[in-house]
Parts: sequence; C-alpha cells; structure tokens
Amino acid sequence: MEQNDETLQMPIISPVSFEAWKVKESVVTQEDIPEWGPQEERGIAMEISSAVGVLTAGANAVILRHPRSVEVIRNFITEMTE
Amino acid sequence: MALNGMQIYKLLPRKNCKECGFPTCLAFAMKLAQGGTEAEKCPYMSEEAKAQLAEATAPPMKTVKFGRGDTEYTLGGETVLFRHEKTFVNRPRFAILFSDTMTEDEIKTRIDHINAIDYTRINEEMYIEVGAFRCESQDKDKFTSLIKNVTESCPKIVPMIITENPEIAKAALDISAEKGPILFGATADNYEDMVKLAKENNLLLGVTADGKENLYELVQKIQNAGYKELLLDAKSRNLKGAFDDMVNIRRTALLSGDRTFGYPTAAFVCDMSTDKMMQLACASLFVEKYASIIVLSDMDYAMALPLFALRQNIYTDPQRPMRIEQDVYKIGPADEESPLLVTVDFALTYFIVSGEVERSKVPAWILIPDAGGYSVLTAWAAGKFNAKSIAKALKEFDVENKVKTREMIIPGKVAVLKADIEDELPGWKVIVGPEEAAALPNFLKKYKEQNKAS
Repeated sequence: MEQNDETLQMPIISPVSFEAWKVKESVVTQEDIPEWGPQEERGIAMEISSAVGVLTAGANAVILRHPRSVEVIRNFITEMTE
Repeated sequence: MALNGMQIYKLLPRKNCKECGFPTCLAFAMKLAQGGTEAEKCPYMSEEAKAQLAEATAPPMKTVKFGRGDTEYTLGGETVLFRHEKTFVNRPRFAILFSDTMTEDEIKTRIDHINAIDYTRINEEMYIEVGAFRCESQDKDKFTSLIKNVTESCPKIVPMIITENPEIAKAALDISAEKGPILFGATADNYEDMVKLAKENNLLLGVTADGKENLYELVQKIQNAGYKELLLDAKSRNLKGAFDDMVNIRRTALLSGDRTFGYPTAAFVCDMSTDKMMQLACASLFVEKYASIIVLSDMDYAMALPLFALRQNIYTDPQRPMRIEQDVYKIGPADEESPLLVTVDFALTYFIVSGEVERSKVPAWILIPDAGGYSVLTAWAAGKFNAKSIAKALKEFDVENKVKTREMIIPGKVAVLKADIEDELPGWKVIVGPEEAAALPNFLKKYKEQNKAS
C-alpha cells in the first residue's frame, strides 16, 4: 500500500451514524446528566459535527440517521459546492 | 523566505573567532539554518545582518496572545497545512456573540450557557473562552454596560470588542483592558487610531477588510505602522466564501512564505446562518480549516460536546501516542472489596473508561498493563494486550494484596482473552465486560448487586 495506489482511488463512504449515536455524548440520558440537555439534540449535534469532519477529510458520501442531520448536511454540501 | 546555510554564512563576519561555541563561522551558519542555535550567539554580526537573519529565520506564521493571567490564550504559530504532516499547535477558541441590541432574555440565555458549559474529556477541562461584544447601537454607554454586565456574570471569559469606532473602542477598553481583550475592527479608515489603542494596551488587534486583496494592503499598512499582533478577517460572511478566505490566507502564509498573511484568522459563523445546527456544521469546518477565533451566535451543551471533542482530536499531536502510566488506579473510594477492571494504556481509552466508572458511582480499581499505547482492539491485534501483559501488570502492581476479589472485568471486545488469562493466572476468574465504555455504569451497578446477593 502506498500513495497513489490505484486500489485506494475509489470514492469513500463513511458510516457516521453508527459511531455518532453510540458515544457517551449521545447515549447518556438527560436524567443521568441533566445539564447536558435533551439526548436527541446531542445525538443530532454529534452526527452533524462528525459528518462535517469526514466530509472535510475527503469522504464522498456519509450515512446519517436523523432527518434533521440529513437536512443540515445537505444544506452544508450545497453551500460548499454551489 | 528562509535562508540556507551558505546565504547565512555570507552575513557572518567570517573571522572564525569560535566565540559562538562553533569551530568555524561556516559550522555556525549551518546550525543556524537548521534552527539549532541563535543568531545572538555571534558577537560580531552587524545590526543590519542581524535584522536580516531575524526576518529570515522567523516562523512563517506569527504566534500571538490575548487575555491575561489564567485566561491567557495563544493563537497561530502553525507550520503545516495538514495535521498529518506534523501537528497543529494552537487550538482555536470559541466565542459567543453579544450585541447591545439584544433583549435581556437573549443576553441571559447566553450568560447561562457560558456558565453551564464545563466539559472534561481526556483530562482537559473545556469551556467557552471568549465573549464577542458587537456594538450595533453606536451608543457608548449602552455598549459598555453590556460588557460590564456580561463580564461580571462570566468572570472567565475574555472580551472581544467589535466596533469600528475608535471612541467607542476606547470607552470599552477603559472598563476591560486589564482582561487583555481582542480589539476587533481596524479598517482602512480607522487603523491609525486602532493601532494606537492596541499598542497602548498591548492587545491583539483584529484587522477587517472587504476581500483578501484589501485585507492584504491593510495588513501591510499596519505592519508599516509597527504593529504585528494581528487577527485577520477578509469579511466573507457565507460558508463557501469564508472557507475560501481561511484556506487562501493560510496557504499564502505557509506555502508562499508571505508573512503579510502569516497571522491567525477569525470566522464569524454567527453571520453565516440563523439555524444553530447549521452554525454547528460551519464551526466544525473551521475547527479543521484554520480559524483561530470562531464566533457563534450561541452555544448550548449539545453543540459544545462535539465541537470541543473535535477540537481536542484535531489539536493533539499525532506524533506522540497519548499514553497513561501503567499502574493500578483507584477510582472513587475503592478498597479491597471493590471490583477490578482491566483496560489498555492508551490515554483516550483510559479517560473514557475511568470517566464511566466514576459516573457509575461504584468505587473500583482499573489495572493498566503495558499495551503499547494502543486502543483495545489494536493492542490485542498487535499482541500487546494479552494474558501475559495482564498477568505481568497484576504481579508488578501487587494487585493480589490490594483486592480480595479474584475476578477481573475485561473489555467486551477482547472476550477471546478469557481462557488465556484464566490459564495464565490460576485462581482468577475473568468476567467479560461491555463492548462500549458507555455501558459500564449499568454493568457495574448490576455486578455490584449480584456480588452482594451471592
């Protein structure tokens, strides 16, 4: 494996949702840590921020779970590429 | 641009006096070119040559500071465009926007958020560092009373004073200069007054102009006026334009070695969208792509968690694996009756696991063997986290005399180690724990109840 390796020159898809929705910041309930606020909001935020991260790093597609994240990331991509 | 050894040699007196500690002027020049010594060591260099050398050996991007005392922050000083080339050094700081035309309620919400957010991850305590105050009323008294009100309620924040009116800026500085605020708003029209204010108070000066060309000209004027503690803004207030500004300014500084753009930049995410989740997306982009001050309309805990985590991830040094010392750690008031967990010496893993154990409120011990500083699965795959390394740590840290239990909880991801460990350590029973640390609180509570019952 080296730079310019042909087998690596394929589009990249990143399964953001699987990771974003299982970290502590998204799974802790509001009863557990009340100051962190609603759990759903935290999951959406984690999903959006992670998706921007991998898109900036070169991902060509991301898998998202929440409709709100899809809406925001779709906007983000449109604004960046228009 | 950087000089090579021969070019530096030509600036030296070439008398081989050895007073710099090197055998010849040429040897000294070579070392200087590599950054291995300082020009001051040569007692015979002319002032002119010294200035030329200082200019040539200075880093391409300036390091600047703002704030004072415990709340002093460093920005800039980056040497690479991509983290994987070396490392990024000075993390961006987050600012929340306050305007003197906001309602009491809007101001109160923001103050509450600033005071609530205090998030510790991998041993770093993170909070909102900056309050950005934008004067929109053009009323001096209104503006200063806003700054007073907010800085008194949030003593930790450093103010960023946003106005293009030097008189208003002066009034704001009269009540906040001791906090080392960022003075934001030197323009082509006011820069002489603004530079004077920044100089007098030793402040980081924000420079703002429409577009990169105008900004470039203005920075040159300010540099000629003798001030170099700057924060740049090319005024694009849409996502794509601002991204383009950030990338071009940083490339000009690092790739072309042009120091006119060798300063940190500010991103006004607050003006790019009214949707808070869209602002989060923009802010995430600018954490990675080169902003040093990121101004948001507001930030609640849901936004803070991913932003702070992302920033921490991007701004740690990839050349140094973050390892924690091998030992048996006590979490909470653990005693000889408490359970024993085992995980790896990768700092990220340790702090996540210990954080979850703390959250469970079940006092426990965590044994950290030599696992090469890798995460659980990587260390296992590399043969570093196995029955032998665990048994070795168990003996070395005298665990059998510290706890009565003969059960150890291992990470669920390496359940395959169970039999090996039990063979290696007769008398010990291995309990397979959860795959994710986040499940530890429930797991430990149940584990404790079961042990009580039996």
